[in-house]
Amino acid sequence: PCKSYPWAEITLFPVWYLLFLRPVLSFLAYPVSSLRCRHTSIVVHKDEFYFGSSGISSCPPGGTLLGPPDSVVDVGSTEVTEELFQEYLSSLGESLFRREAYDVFENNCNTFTNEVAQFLTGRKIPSYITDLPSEILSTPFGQALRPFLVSIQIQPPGGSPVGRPNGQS
Amino acid sequence: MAEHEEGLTGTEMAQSGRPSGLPADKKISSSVTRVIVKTAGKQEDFMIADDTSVRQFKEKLSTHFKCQVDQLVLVFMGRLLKDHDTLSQRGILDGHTIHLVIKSKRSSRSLAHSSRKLLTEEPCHRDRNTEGNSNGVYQPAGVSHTPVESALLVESDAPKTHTQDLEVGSPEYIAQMLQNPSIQQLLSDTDLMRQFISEHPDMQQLMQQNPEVSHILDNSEILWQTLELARNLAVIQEIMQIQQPEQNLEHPLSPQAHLGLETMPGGDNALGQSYVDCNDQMLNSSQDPFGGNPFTALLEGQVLEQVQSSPPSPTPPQERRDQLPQLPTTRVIYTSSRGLSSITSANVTPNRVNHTPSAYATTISATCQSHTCPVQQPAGPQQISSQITGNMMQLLLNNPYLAAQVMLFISMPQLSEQCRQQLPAFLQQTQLPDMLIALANPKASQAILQIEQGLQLLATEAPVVLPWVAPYLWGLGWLPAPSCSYPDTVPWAWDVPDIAEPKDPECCHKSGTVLQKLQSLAEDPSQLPQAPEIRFSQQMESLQAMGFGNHHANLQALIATEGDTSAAIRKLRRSQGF
Repeated sequence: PCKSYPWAEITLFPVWYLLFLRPVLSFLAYPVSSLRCRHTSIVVHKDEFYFGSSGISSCPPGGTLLGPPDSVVDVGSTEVTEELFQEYLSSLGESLFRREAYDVFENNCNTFTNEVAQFLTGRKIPSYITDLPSEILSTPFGQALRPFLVSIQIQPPGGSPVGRPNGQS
Repeated sequence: MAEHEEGLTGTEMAQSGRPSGLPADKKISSSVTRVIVKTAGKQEDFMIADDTSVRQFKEKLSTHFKCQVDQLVLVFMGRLLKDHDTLSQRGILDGHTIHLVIKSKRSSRSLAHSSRKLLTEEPCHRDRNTEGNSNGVYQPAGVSHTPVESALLVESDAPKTHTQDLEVGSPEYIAQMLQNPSIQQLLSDTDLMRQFISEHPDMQQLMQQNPEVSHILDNSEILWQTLELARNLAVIQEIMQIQQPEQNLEHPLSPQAHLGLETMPGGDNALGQSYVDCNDQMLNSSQDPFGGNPFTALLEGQVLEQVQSSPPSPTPPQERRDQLPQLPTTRVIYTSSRGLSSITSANVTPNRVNHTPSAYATTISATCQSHTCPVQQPAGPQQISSQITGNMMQLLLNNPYLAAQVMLFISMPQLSEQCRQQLPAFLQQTQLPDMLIALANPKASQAILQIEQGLQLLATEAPVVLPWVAPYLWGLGWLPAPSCSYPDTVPWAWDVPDIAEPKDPECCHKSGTVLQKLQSLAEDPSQLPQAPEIRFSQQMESLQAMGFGNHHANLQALIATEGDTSAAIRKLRRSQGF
């Protein structure tokens, strides 16, 4: 449902983020496992975009193997066109969100969603989502398991990678 | 802070080339803002004046990031910043973050190219003061149009001008143009073709009359077929020229889209409608010289009814007339009204039965009451036509329902027995379903004709009766059965002796359109209804056995109740006053 305002020559595209709540791996100790892992992805221009251990990926909304989201939250509207957005994603994918840069604590899917949401609308994702890593790390168990957890790679299957379409500049 | 300002304005002066620099009062009133520019995963602070225009800011950034100004896109709060805005206008305050996207050179180049094409020249922004911003030049498209769209516009200009030339030119030119690989690449882009076709004014006119035509454009296969046919354009036009030198068709060949109408499988109502419209126009065109011809009068009468719902406008029928020679049905009529044989007759009968064309033609011209047109049989066009008719025959063979339509037109009472004898054999050769062969039965086709005529008569004489007779149509599946309740009033109509097939005002466009019925069959062959007599033969027998002697009324009742014998009995009893 894009809104266009021809008199002002503006077309607005809606932006949502999808929130997936999944239980943390069960082998973790109880205080940690009570946490729900929060995975988010951003939906704009009828596509879902998310960041995982193999870089930025896209798929039709709800098209990953995670299935339908637990909640769909309206972020706002953006003027950014699809083409411009692709450029932006490509530039992100070569810098901040290249696949090697995935870090389950510091630079994860929610970081990506937050970043893109700010670019698209100027608004952020609620902090309870982005604060998940610190929540885990604030527990002694989390601290203890950190070296192990750091190497966790999360990549929801079902999407295709997002790259720079027009070749190098 | 003051140093900052001076340094800033100094820089700005240097960059913008303002001759006299900022006036003193300006310097005092402007305030400096610290904005964060985020790009590609890094961010930097910039100090700029509030009243800096976006354009100026971009220039500054372009030097900083070592790129061209055209490559820069600034986004703030999800809004694209346009060059003539000022930062303060957009609500950019101290500490806000502006996102920057540096586009790749290639996309910005194509964008620039199309911007040049689309926009008037962009004046220098440097002299625009931010106060007088509103009367500044508006450069919206540069940022907000996607390069894809603009590229599309750019590229579509080319084929459009081409076709404009071609409207004056010859088919050879079209063929040459089609050879051009860049054009072929364009043509193979279905989105572009769809846009191209739908923007053509003739096409739009056509679509106004036949909304279904717009569905054609969604089918890329049809577009492809259209293009295939366009390759035969040269041949087709030759035929037209040969066949109708005296008809003074001076308008040029219509755009390819119209040709695609015929190649489309006959399951579309629009096609049927255009058939009908073509027929109408053909008849109108040939009416004058043969005013008193009862044959054409009859044809015209039948065809005109079908056209009631969509009166043709001058232009599309003209264009359709261009392709009339390709339509088998109209060729038949054309033949019969004019007596020209060669190409048209070949369209009707299969190629392998080569001896029949001349016989067919002579019979038709014999039955035709008109006169002096000589029967021409040039050998050349026939060879050419055999190519075209080969395609046509393929089309007929592939789509038996299309063949049925052809057949119905042909199987007029006035036509001789010979052609009707030929047709069933032809149909059997092509292994068409039995229904179609049954249609070739002269009595069956006569019956259908009478049904159509009766419907038309009823529509004009007593349209009020029609809704009551609607259940009869429901039973045949011609109408979607509405949920309203007619049943109580319906039995009245059944006692009317000359019961014609009912017509509901809603579907008057379906009245008498066996063609359209067949078309819908073509869409969904599983809907093929047998004749009610066959379907309900068992029930008919039981009704007869019970003593309901009125065969006709029995049939009506069974149709209305969809073969439910007991319900039919109830209806019959009610109607017969038990």
